[in-house]
Amino acid sequence: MGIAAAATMLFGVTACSTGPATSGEEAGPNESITIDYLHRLPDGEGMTKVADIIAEWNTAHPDVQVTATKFDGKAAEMLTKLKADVKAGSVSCLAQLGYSEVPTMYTEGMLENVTDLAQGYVDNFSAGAVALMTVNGETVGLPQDTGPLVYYYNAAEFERLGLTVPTTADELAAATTAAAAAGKYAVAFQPDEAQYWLSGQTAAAGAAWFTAEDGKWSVDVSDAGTAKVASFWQGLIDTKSTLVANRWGDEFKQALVDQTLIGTIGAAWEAPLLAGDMAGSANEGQWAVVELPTFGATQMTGPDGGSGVAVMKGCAHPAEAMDFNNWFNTQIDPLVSQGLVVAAKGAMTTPDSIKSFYGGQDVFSVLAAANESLSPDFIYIPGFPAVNGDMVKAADAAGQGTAPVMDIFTAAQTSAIAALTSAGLPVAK
Amino acid sequence: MAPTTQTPPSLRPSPATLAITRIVLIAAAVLFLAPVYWLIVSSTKSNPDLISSNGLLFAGNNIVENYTALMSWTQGNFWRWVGNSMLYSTVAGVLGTLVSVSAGYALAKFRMPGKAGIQLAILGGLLMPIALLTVPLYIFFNGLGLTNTIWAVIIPSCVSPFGVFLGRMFVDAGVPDELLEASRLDGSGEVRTFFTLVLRLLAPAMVTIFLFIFVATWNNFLLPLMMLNSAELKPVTLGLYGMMSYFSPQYGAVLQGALLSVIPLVVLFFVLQRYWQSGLTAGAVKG
Repeated sequence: MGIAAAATMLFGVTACSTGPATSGEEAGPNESITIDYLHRLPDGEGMTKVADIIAEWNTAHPDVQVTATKFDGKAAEMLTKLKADVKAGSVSCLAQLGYSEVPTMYTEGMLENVTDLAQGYVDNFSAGAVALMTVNGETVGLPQDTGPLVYYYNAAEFERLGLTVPTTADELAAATTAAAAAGKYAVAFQPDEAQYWLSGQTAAAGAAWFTAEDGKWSVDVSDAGTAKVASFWQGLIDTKSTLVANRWGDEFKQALVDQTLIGTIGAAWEAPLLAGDMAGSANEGQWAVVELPTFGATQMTGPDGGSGVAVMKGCAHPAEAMDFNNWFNTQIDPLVSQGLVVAAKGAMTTPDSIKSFYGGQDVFSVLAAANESLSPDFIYIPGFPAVNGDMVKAADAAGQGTAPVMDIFTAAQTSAIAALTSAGLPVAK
Repeated sequence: MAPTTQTPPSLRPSPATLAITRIVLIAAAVLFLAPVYWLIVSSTKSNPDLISSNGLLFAGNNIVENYTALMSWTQGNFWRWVGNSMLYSTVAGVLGTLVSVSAGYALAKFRMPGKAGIQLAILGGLLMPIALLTVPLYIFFNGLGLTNTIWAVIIPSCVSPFGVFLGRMFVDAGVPDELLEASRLDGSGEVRTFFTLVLRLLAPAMVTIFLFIFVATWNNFLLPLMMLNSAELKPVTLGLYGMMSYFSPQYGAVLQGALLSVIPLVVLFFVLQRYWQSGLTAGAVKG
């Protein structure tokens, strides 16, 4: 009996998923509809809780009630659940997806095409972020937060060592060499973050590894921008001027706390994390943020993480869902309190705790500027998460000096082509 | 009472054996207790202290801050989650033990067609990791409309191939055929024989199976992760993991949560320990 019921559900999904436009009629004129929203926001201490933000919407919209659920697992586990949910016909209408996961889910048919519904909202968001929620010209949701790369540094230590704040990659390399002479590191090479952190840097240098033309994907890492990033790190690793440490390992945090590491290239969302790692140490009030030193010809940065809220396949009320999606993701200050650099346009207020760590700087205005200069050309391929393993392995070897940095990018190319091929997608030769 | 005074001298272990045994036991105790000690120490620390201070020494006292952070991150649900874990594990343990023992009894004592096949299937189930079954189970339970209810966690946890296997072994070793024949001759029905005679004989074995299922349910993570949505229904493992899956967790708070959540388990083990001891030796000294 259970099997029969499960089978009915499966057929039920396939039958109605083709016509989301008509399913809005399910709710009667006076009945309220319910939109489920599955997210991975931290919802931690001192943050404006998701439940409180949603309560505000629910009060104002008695006919469209939203239920938000925090998913406790990792991003990959959430994808497994969402896929099972779509098959079972019980998926949440809205779900948080990392930008790199969007093309994967799209090609697996897990997302609704809401291009028309999105038209009225996309102008509220950064164009680069909207591009990441769009696959094949079809928009599948709205962006929530972004991770443009910026440069964090300890201003007090820079002053003590007589270093100038770098504005170009060459100046950064020079500052790093000078700091190394004084026993400090002005950057850290982070093998565990190789995938997004390094690809983001190549994007900042003007690279666009992945392009889709005539229904075929092409993968190319042989551009000048990628070469520039490779030679930048190769030089610093060869002269041992850079710290080599995993971003999420204790060695990195230790180096921050004891001030051997006085600068790092990091995503915008690392601003509160760095402050948290160094809370209570001598670093308080000493750090500052600037836009990423230019790797290419213009002031541009690349994406390192970030996510959007997509409309899942089989959502019964996509119009109402998108209405809420737009409202929720433009609640700038509550989302900032969750540690996000929001993709919505508008002024972000720097929380006091962050301001005091960064010596009173209006950190979020810098991050917002970085948001604006996000490369619009760098997109991800379906299956990009699968590229991670090979890139990290190559980055480990490069960090130890046993292989050239460029190997990381050739590994990315090989692995990306393999991922596309195994997903059955055409690859241009 | 004390066994050493009654042991004849010829059977007493030599001083060398005694010393080696003690050293090995103490080493094992240290090995097992060191992580617990580390957990206690770490749960009192703040994030920077965790990185900068010696892991085995106390640093600043951050207990209250960590507890506040734990309550805030779990939206005040922490103790409810511990209660949920207790509930799921106890119910699954009790039902699962009953199922396992009766299935094991049937397999050991009754002749039926296809018995070898059933045993083989159960042994096969022993090799199947539960993680593999979670997604199909999810789709199945969704069809039944049971997802996001406590039954979605309890029912699959009641089924334990290892429990059935153990139950069969214990029945083989601890329930003599003669006893069953005698009770049949005395006019006891099969149901009565099972509940009044067999279960009593198997009490130590049941405690063992209960603890196995209890711990397995307590530790099962993927099943509730897939099945449950509501914050009110989460077990504590899931809730604590939710604090860790973000980039910069409050380690001290998570560790304190881990420490507090094992306390019920520790209490349970101390209470049931003596039954377990006799359970593991059941049948070992059969004349």
